[in-house]
Formats: sequence, C-alpha cells, structure tokens
Amino acid sequence: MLQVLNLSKRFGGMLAVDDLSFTVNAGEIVGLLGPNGAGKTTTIRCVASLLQPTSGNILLNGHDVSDDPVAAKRALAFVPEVPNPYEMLTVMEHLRFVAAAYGMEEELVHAEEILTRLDLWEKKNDLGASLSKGMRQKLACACAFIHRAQVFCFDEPLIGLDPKGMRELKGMMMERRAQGNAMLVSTHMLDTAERLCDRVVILKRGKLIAEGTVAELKERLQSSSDVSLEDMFLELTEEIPGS
Amino acid sequence: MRAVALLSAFKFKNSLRTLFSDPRKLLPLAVAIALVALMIVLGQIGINQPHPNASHEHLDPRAFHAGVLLSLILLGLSFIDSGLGDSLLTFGMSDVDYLFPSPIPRRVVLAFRLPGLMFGALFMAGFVLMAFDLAMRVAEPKWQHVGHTTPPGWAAPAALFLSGGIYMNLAMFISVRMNNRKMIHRALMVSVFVVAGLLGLVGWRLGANTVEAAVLSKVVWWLFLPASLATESLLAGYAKEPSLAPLGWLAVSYALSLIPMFTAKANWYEQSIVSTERSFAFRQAARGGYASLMGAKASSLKSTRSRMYTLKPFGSGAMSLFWAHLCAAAKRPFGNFIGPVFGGILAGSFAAFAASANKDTETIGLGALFAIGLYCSMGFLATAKAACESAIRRRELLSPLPFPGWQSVAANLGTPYCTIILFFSGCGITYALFRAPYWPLVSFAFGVGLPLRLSARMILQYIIGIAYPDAADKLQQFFAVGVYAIATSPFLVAEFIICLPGMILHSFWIVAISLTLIQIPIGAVLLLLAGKASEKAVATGEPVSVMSVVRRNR
Repeated sequence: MLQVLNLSKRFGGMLAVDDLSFTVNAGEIVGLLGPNGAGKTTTIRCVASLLQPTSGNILLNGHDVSDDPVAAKRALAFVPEVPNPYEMLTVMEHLRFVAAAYGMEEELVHAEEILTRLDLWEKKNDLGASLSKGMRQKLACACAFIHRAQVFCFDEPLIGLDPKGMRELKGMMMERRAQGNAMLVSTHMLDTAERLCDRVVILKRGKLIAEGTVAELKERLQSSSDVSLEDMFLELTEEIPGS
Repeated sequence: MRAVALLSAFKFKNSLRTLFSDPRKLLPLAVAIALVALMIVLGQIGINQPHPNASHEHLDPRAFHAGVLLSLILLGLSFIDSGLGDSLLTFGMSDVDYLFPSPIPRRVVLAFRLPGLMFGALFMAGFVLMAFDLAMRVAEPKWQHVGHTTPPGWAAPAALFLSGGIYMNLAMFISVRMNNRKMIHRALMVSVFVVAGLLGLVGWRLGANTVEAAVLSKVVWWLFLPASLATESLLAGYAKEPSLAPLGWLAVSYALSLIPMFTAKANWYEQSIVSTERSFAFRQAARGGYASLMGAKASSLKSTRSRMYTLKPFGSGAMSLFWAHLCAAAKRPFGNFIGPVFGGILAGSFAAFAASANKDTETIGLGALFAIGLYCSMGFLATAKAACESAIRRRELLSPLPFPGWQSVAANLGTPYCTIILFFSGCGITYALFRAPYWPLVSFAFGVGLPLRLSARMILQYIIGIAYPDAADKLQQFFAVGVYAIATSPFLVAEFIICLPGMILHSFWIVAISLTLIQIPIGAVLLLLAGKASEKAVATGEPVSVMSVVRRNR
C-alpha cells in the first residue's frame, strides 16, 4: 500500500531524511517513532507530496507521488500535526469540500456518524475559526475518514485530544485497519504506539535505526519480556542519562 | 475544479455573513471600493478631456511617450520582482493542510490564485490612469498630427489591466518555476540601476533626444511588449488614433502568458509551504499564539547564510533593542546601508545632470526626481511594513522588556528609517553638490522633509499592521488598505491646509517648511498611539482595533 524507497530529503545543507526505506502493508498500522528532529514530519510530508524528495521514491497504492501525484494522493488521507481549518468554513462544509476534492460526495452519508463519534455533530454549523485546538484535531480526523482512502498518514494525531476523543480515534483507526487500510502514525506517545501499532519504524537524525514488531525489537536487543517500547526506544536512540 | 469552486463559494458566503453581521466592518470596504472607482473615473475624465491650452509651454509628445513607457516598464518590473519574493506563493495554512494534500491538480490550485492576480492588475490600472491624468495636466503634450478616430473609453483601462495582468502572470510563473529567485532578484535590481545610470549618462553626454530614441527603440518595444502596447493604447485617446489593435495584441499576449503558468509541472508546494509558514508564524504571534515554535519551524526550512555580528553593543533600554536590529541589518550591509547610499547618489546625479543640461530637460530632471522620490517612498514603506511584521512576530520575546511601547516602536522602526535617511540624504546632498536648479529647496525636501514625512507614514502603517495582522486573509488585507486610506486622509487634509499660505504667496519654501514642520507633531502623536497599540496588543494577545486605541487616548 505504502512503499518508501531510499527516500532522502535535504534542506539546504541539512540532510533531514537519509536513505530511508520501509513499507506499510494493507491492514497494518505502523508507528513512525524518533526523537525531535529525527525526520518524522519531513517523511510524512514527503508521503503527502507536500515536500519534493531530494532522491528516492514513494509509492502510494502503486503510484509514484512525484510522477503521478494526483493518482497517488487519491489513495491518501493526511492528518497534519497542527491542523488549521479554514476559518470561514463550517465543520460540515469542510467535509463537503474534502468529499468533493476526492470526488466522493456519496460518502457524505457517513458524515453524521463520523461527526457524532468525534463529538462534532453539535458543532456542524460552527465556523472553523471558533473551534478549540482539540476540535480542530477532531475535524482534521473527520475529514480524513470521510473519503475512502486506502492509506492514512497521521502526524501526532492524539495531541490535544481529550481522553474520550483519543479512545474514539484509536477505535476508528483499528476499524479501518480491520477493513484493510494501511496506516502510518507518527507519535511520541510510546505506550500508545506499543498498544496500537503492529510494527514500528524508529528514526534518528533522518536514518532508520530499527524496524519491526515490539517482540522483534525485544529479541534484537535481547531484552526481557517486561521491557517496554519506551525503554527500548531510549536505548536505541541513546537518550538514557549516563548511557 | 468543482471542489475549489465549492471552497471559494463557502468562504465567500461565510465571509459576507460575518462581514454583514458587523456593519462597522463595511466602512473600510466602502472606502476601498470608492477609491478604486474614483481612480477609474478620474482616469476616464482625463482621457476624454485633452487639454489644448495653447498659451502654456507644451511637452514634446515623443518625450511624454518615452516617460509613460518608462513608468509602465518600471511598474511591470516591480510586478516581476514581486514574483521573486515570497508573496505570490503565500497561501493559508488551511490550504497547506487540506488543499495541498488533496488530489486536486496543482494547476487548479494555481487557477484558484488567478482572481487575486487579476484584482491586483485592475487596481494597478486604476492607479496608473489617475497618475497618467495628473501627468497629462502637468505636461500638456500637444500632438502635431492628430487622427480622426475616437477610441472607446474602456480601451485604455483594459489595455493597462491586460499589461499588468501579463506581468503578474509572468511573476507567478517565475515564483512557481524558478528556485534561485534571490539571485535573479539581485540581478534584476542591479540591471535596473545600471540601465538607469546608462540612460542618465547618455542623456548627459548626448542629450535628451538620444534617451528618447533609446527608450522608443524597437528593441525596448519588443523587450517590454505589454508595456509598449499599453502605452500606445493609453496615448491613442489623445492622438485620436485607433487603440483596438494594440488592445487585441495585448489580449492575445495575456492568453499566451497563462500557458507557461499552467503547463509548468514543478512541485511548487514546498516553496509555498516555506512562505506560508513564515506568514502563519507572524499571524500566530499577532494573536498571541506559539510564535517562537512556528518561527523556528518556518526558519528551519529557510536556507540562510550566517554572518558574524559586526557591531559592538551600545545603549541601554530601547537603545539596546535598536542595537539588536542594527546588528541584524548589518548582516545584509549592501541592501540596508551601502545600496541606499549608492542609490541616492545615482538618483541625485541623474536628476542633477538632467536638470542642469538645458532649460528643456530641467522639467524632466525635476520630474524624474519627484517620480524617484515617490517610487522609493512606496518601496521604503513596504520595508517598514516588513519591520512591523517582524516586530509583531517577536512580541513574545520583546513584551517583557522594561520600556514603554513608544520606545519599542521607535527602536523597531529605527533600522528601516536609517535606510531611508541614507537614501534621501545621498540623493539630496548629491543634487546640492552639483548645484543643479533649485538645489537648496530640493536638498531640503529630500534631506529633511521627505524623511520626516515618511517617518510619520511608517508609524501609521505600524499601527495598522497591529490592527490588521492577518496577512493571509484577503479581506483583512483589503480592510488594511481601506483603513490606511482613511487614516491618511486627515493628515493629507492637514497638510493641504498648512500649505495654503505658501500656495497663496507662491512660495515653494513656505510650502516645504510648513509641510516639514507639521510632520513633527504628527509623528510624535502617532508614535505615542503606536506605543499604546503595541502595549495593548501585548496585554490582550489579539489584533488591536485602531478605534479603540484612539478612544483610550481621549
């Protein structure tokens, strides 16, 4: 579903992503982990065709995002780190615009269900400018779920959400996984990643330093079964004081 | 295309709904619309009413033609230069989050930008028509051979609109396609100054006729085809010649100028995100948001060359803030300090040579100096606007500093003001050194009067920058233009009244001194108001209403 092949991205003299390769298969949630400045957002922005890769390829449902961006993006739903809704569009109008942009107006029949689950139905006629930070995050997620995307890219989707919103969003993500969608989730919440993700990809300074299931990582690091993903992450990224 | 149309329709509908919910918001909009209408109407009146007053000395139509063409070429180049900056690719952050990742082709997103460009071209057409009418009344050129055709009144505005539109499309194409825009911008600026210097040299050594011949040559005609065709169309009304042929060619050229813009396959989203995030950081700061975070993010995508700080620390309080701004400006010494001095010397020399050559070219020299002063004033005001935006972006850092708001505003505007003084002093002193006609008056106006007047305008713009910080919102920008027009009008009236004795006594000196003196209290009052607005903005973290600042000071 999503293949990142030898991706490199350079900003001037700074190499933000260095020869990164990984795949996200259908029916799989992959966590993209890494300390600040590891290149997670840059990778996700390259996948969303917002940034032009310096080298390498990204295939979305078989379409290269550089060569055929329109076909590639048709398969993608993207939730940015800090979503900024259109201030002059209501919640419902956001969904109508996104459905029209993907040519899937018929999917608007699910709008009430999605908005209700995310506690936005009551605010369907409110302007984007009047929404709180958490509501904006929920709206971005609602827009991602309104069209039939095959690949989802979430950049820190749980930041700013209330506990109920977090649970609902995780539930919706798992439902989509069960329906065969591929999901790439960038997050700093390692406990959530451990429970939600089938595999994790750990980056450091733009390079892939570890990839696999939590069990595989434990095996590679020869850790005991009670060691958490957080412990392994810190060990891999050498952030334990004194280590 | 349907989705973008839907998006525009939703935004337009809700903007109107919000706008009409508060009738006070309609006032600046009405003023802005009235200003555009006034420009077009005045231009029309000017075109339809030639001035056959034979008792005056008339300017040679060929010289007038060259002057108009040069002005339109400069305007076209300024449009192209706008494509070498960030402004044309600045979208809203919402577009980055929702529009850019969607499967809408990039050329459709670009088409979404076209109405804005067309509006800019329309606005420019109105402005040029008004300036042209003024020039006609002053110069009163008389054509020897007048034809028998009366072109339709809409031909000249349409030609100007199409010409401006072509240059704007070209600017957009450059924005979308070129990566090394900074280098092209520098090359363009250097070329403009070199050509201006060469024209001055040619005029000095070989006479004004040679300059006219050079400007009206076939090479220039083809090189700046839209400006040349628009000039012909504009002058056709006076020479009673057909204007529809150049208009037809302009329409064809406009259509052709859209082709490269919409066939370019470049992924310009990345450049757009850089400028959009920078603009967004400014807006967030103005609203008391996470300016530092967003500012750092915006600058992380910007390729910057680090230069050493070059000034030793001096002063305390607001003076130390001024020092910090000077240090930052010293990283770009050519643009901020050396360039303005050379520019001023060049402009002063050109005007002095032209004005001193003979009696015929005296008007050209003084007119050129007036035009340079006006053009540079607009440029410097734009620089001051950028300084205001930077100050607002750094508000989180600056607001805890222990000095009054007015001192903070003065320190923030200090560096662009130094640039202004360097340019105008360079110009005035050079003109005086050549002992060109009216040199004491011209040197006083450039060395003292204009910088003082610009300082007042800069502070006024600062206040409006704080009140209307939403750079990505077209309505807000539109309001800011309207509010600026409203805010300047009382000062214009005051300036006019204070100049009346000088005008009655036919004394340019009294006019110049009165105009200069009145700027001191105006500047002081505005500085206090800007300081209050700045303090108030810090306290609330919201855009400051200009009216509320005035009310607070009653």
